[in-house]
Amino acid sequence: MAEGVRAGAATDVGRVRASNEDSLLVGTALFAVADGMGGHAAGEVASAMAVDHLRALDGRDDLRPEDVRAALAEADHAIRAAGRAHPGQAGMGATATGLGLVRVAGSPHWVVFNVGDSRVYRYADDVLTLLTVDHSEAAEMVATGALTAEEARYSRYRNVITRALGVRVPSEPDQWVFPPVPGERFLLCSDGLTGELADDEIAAVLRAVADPAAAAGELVRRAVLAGGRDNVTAVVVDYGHGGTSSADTAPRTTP
Amino acid sequence: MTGYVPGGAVAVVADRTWLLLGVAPGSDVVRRCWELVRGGAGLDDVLSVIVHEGFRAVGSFALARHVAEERRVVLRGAAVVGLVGADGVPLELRADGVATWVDTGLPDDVVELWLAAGEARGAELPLERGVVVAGRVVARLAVVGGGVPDQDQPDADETGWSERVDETVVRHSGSPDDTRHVFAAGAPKVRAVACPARHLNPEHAIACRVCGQALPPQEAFVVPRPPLGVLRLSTGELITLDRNVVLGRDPRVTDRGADAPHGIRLANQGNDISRNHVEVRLDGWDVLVVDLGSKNGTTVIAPGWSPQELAKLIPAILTPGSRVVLGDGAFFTYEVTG
Repeated sequence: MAEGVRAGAATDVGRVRASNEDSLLVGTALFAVADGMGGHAAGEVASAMAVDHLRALDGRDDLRPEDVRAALAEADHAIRAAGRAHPGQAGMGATATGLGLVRVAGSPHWVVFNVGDSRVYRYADDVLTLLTVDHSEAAEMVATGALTAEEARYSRYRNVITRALGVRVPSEPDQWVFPPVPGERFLLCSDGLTGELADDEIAAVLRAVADPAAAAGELVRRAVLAGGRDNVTAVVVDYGHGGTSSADTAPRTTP
Repeated sequence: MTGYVPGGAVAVVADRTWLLLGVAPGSDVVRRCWELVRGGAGLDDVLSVIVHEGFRAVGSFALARHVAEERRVVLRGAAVVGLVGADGVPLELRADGVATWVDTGLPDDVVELWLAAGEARGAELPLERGVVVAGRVVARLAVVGGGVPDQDQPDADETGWSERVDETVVRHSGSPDDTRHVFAAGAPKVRAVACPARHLNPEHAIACRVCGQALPPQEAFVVPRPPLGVLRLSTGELITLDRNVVLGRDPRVTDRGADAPHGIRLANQGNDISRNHVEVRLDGWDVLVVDLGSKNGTTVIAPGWSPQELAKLIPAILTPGSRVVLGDGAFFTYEVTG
């Protein structure tokens, strides 16, 4: 894993769905969650394709934000092409949301990217901040004041997404570039997690569980306990927390 | 093409937006709704006006809009909305027994749409745009959503109209043009016109800001603001102007949430760059540059001009091609792209 970065992940099919259509990437400097859609296992195929295109970028030491944008565009085309070639996969698509270390002006920066309604949060100085804007009708209605955030949680527009890879909606990712700050922690998750857990509970777990893999596991466990109405996936990425650069040998201390 | 049948309610029609309001024609609500609709506002804005006035003033209403960024029907009270899909199947929407209102999406392949409230008497008359006393409004949308379906996507799985609560579905997209532009998260809405190459431009522009073509006469429309160009850093990278950008030795931006600026860390030999040195700010269609109170100042070199030192904390218009110098060897150039 890249210097100063530790990460861990967990995923669960949940209590209602027959299969897990989420895919995730824990690379050396690139991390992502993809939530697939489309029947007959096609959603799994689409989300795996999204993640595979990002994985191909991981490990490059000169990664740029536009490389991430290009990989997502390629994934979009590949998923569309597969949908055309295989009738069983027609109409499949995926969200793609994540975080990567890129080089800008000679120094490392994070790029946060998002297509769809999976999310990236940042947890630092005991404050949880949502870094992405959901591409969903509910989020658009909240933005215009037609719904409150609380109403949006129960709105019938909640699951109508306005951008995704592979389907007939725009696929352009939002991107946000900023410098890393030692001690920060990121959570990448599918909507199966945020649909079950409120921000307070997410923050409490990120505060209490120091090891990234254990924190991801605890978040997923709680979301499944709370209902597990969808597949649940979490990736936790720590930056500059001291200690070793490893995915699974973290000291159990609060950051 | 829109028509109306005279009646007891008030119809407000403009730009693929149709309102039928159960109010007195002289009501202030009518005037304000007309101002909004004429200006390209969405149904949320219209709803706020009605809600503000109270349901005693506007008992029944039907609102419909069918443009790329909003395909939606809202109705309340005794108002009825009917629609006919591309398959010829008619469907009626009512708000019987609903305390607030019914609010739902419209499929993009609607062929005909009608709104009714109260009595309607007499022959149907044409109405492209304006305010009339009516009991019924009929919109025929023969050419819908920019025409041909996207061949990329079979429509079999798309549910469009149905109740869609548990499965994630994708929204029926508008015209194929939707994918032409990159829209930033939470980008503010701007009024725009398009050049023949579909580049978006400010409403009153004479020539395209990207390709320089003359802009044909047209009605402005409201869109999320497109990226206004890029910053080309002295190290070669491009930063997309889809949100504000703060550049400096170590800018901190993440505390401000998803609408915060990009933060770009610049270092140089002389080490004379401040932590938060300069910000490129997007204001409507304008690109501004602001020195954030840096220790050693910021210099702007506009094409054909001698270098100008920025006054601290005072935004200045940044013209395309301008170079902004933060310190020895650390600079960026603003370029307009499509």
